[in-house]
Amino acid sequence: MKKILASSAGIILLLALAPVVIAQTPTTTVPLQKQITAEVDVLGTCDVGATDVDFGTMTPGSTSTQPTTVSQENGNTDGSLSIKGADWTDGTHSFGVGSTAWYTTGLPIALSTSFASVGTLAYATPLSVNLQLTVPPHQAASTGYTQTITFEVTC
Amino acid sequence: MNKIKIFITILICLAVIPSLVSAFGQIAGPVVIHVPLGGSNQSSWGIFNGESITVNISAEGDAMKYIFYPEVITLEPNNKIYWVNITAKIPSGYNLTQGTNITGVIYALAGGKPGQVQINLQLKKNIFILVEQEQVTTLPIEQEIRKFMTGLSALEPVYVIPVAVLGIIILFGIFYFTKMKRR
Repeated sequence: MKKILASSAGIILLLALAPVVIAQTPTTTVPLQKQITAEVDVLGTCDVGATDVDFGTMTPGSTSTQPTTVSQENGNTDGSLSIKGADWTDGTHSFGVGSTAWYTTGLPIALSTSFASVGTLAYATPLSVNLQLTVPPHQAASTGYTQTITFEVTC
Repeated sequence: MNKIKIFITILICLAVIPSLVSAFGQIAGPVVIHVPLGGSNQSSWGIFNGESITVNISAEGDAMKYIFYPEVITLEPNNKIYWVNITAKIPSGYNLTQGTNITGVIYALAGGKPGQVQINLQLKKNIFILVEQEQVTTLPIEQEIRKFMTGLSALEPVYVIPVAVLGIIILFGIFYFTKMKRR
């Protein structure tokens, strides 16, 4: 009985002192480090954007040329660029789509209602497309003539 | 007076500098859909734009007769990719002599800002539907057994444990009844 009591007291004493001993043991600080690997897959893309065009005010029979810059904003793949247009109209009067011609470096080509190939739209090189409008002679006066031009890109 | 001059100059500059229509883009490469004869399959075409816009989808070519797609979609801003689902269905009566590679084109048109010259932007994507003749073959018995075993091993533990417990109970039952009979 005495032995049991003595050993129980010993165990209790050890348990009571253990935290103190542990607390007094010098500890070394090991910095926690964790390396992670980040991954990303970048898709091949092409995009198209164009600057606005406005020919302002013109007289019948006169010609004006305005450039539009066609470019890829974020793409990483070259695309094939095409252009088409529609007739000029103010709702009452109109004149032909071909009154507008386009060119990049060569001679002006009359705009058509079918797509025409402009060339390659490189992903890092903006392309300047010049639009040349000739208002037909005797064309009715109006402040509201508009034309729709569509640029198309394939990649 | 100078401040007014500067302000007017800035206004004139802003009016003269042409504004760039936000770029409208797509994932590169053609859309290829493998379709079994009499079946259907799906693929998608990724398109995106800097600003939120409404886009009209249309198609042309032979593939147009066999594909289904949403005609109007709204893109979210910040070039978030919108995956346009394109479903191709080939009827079982499709004559394979017409060709097993049906081609076509799909377009996404974004209307430009209204003005004297409205510039629309369009994306064009080539589509290839590859028709595959479905083959129904009978496997040799050895392959059938292997297929069955593969199926068993593919069973989830959730199903395997009750089956095993049931098996053990049955075995114990057989053992018990055999012993009872002997007595």
